[in-house]
Amino acid sequence: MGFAYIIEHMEEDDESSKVVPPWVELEYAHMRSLAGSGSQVHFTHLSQNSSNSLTEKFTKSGSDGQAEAVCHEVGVLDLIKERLGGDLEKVCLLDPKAEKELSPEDGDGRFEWFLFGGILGDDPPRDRTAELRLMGFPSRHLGPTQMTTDTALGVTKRVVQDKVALSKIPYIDHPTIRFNAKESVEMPFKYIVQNGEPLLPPGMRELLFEDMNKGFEF
Amino acid sequence: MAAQISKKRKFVADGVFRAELNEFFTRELAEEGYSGCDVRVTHARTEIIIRATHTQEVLGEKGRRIRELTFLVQKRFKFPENSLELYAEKVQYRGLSAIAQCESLRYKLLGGLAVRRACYGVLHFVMESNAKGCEVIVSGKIRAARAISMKFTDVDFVDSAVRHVLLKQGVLGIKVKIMKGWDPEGNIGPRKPLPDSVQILEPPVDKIVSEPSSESREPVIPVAPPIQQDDAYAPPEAATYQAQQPEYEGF
Repeated sequence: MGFAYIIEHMEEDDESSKVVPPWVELEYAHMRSLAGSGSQVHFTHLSQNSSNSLTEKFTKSGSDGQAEAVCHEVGVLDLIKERLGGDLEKVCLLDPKAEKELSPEDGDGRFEWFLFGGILGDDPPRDRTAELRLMGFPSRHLGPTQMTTDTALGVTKRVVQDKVALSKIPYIDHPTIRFNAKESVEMPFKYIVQNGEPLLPPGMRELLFEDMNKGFEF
Repeated sequence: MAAQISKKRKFVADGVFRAELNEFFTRELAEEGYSGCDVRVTHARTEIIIRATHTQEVLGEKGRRIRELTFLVQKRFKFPENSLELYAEKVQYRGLSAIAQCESLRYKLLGGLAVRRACYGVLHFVMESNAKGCEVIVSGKIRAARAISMKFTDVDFVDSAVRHVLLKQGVLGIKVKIMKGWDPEGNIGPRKPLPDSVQILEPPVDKIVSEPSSESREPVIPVAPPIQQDDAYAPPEAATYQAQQPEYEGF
């Protein structure tokens, strides 16, 4: 039995390439393998360029063991009107400020879709999930520490599909990723642990290493 | 200030004065590489020594800038006329001052320089100044990425400083830590070595122990005069006490 995950894209396109930034692309691709075959991942509120670019990349990378991925230019509310008859109660928003914690019983069919904000987070978080919160969805939280969006999806899948309680999932908080004797990066997020290492999207380590060749914007 | 003031209040007021003074100079003299100040109070006047890397800019043209600073401090803290003097002192070893390096890194990043290049620049300069180690941490959000902390290290550390820069999307944090080798003169490092750095001293000439040897002796008569036992106790203690001192003087 598969589940449906919706990511409402909330970041701006890259200025030069006019599509989603590399970080976003890696996280979105990772979501397909985290969700697993039999499930679907929908990306909403994408620009036309990004939608085309992502669809092309997903088709190229095939679908073994990966969820089906669909790109939409419409926003999540419009999609709900189209496909769920506008019933917001059927959608569960994953929100750090929710009152209730996500539990395995939330996967019993009460929710059709699980919704996430496609946001590249600040530290401390700026609470951009508030934009989705205002729309009035029922919500659940995944614990207090901020996670990357793909990690949040991975955790949600383990809870509602694999029926593992939130506290039983192995995590690592604020891991340090070391590149060599002199250089390392600390990620101020919680990650799922796999084989003793934080579970990062494929290609993310290399991207982090390359990002240190960039400067800041003032 | 002339009125009676309790000792407690005096110390607190003193601390507040130094803190505010330091904060003022940090903001005002950031570009001049401000690295700290000392306040010396005599009964006649108060002297403030400003340590900076670019002392010429602190003084200004014909001493104008330092006169302006003196005036500002005097008015703010209500010093009587001619009772306050400001001096600028050049920071001896810029590469060993965490504050100076933090400011330098701040300006490089403000200028848009790549993080890796800017941080390695600092790391190399510090290590060339004979530091034992250095660590630089830059925390912030690069465009189209998540907020992360980038760390560049060369061994261990001690002297540290923190600076912040305003970004479009929040605040960029900069931390520089420098470990200085030890120096008995106290100029470019602490006076004492680390507890775990061991120095093996050559034994003093008169205590050189030669190879163990055996000698045939007459059978010893077991008569030990009690007076000599007291003498036997005293010298060993004095000897060990003296043996410790060469550690600090010799090197």
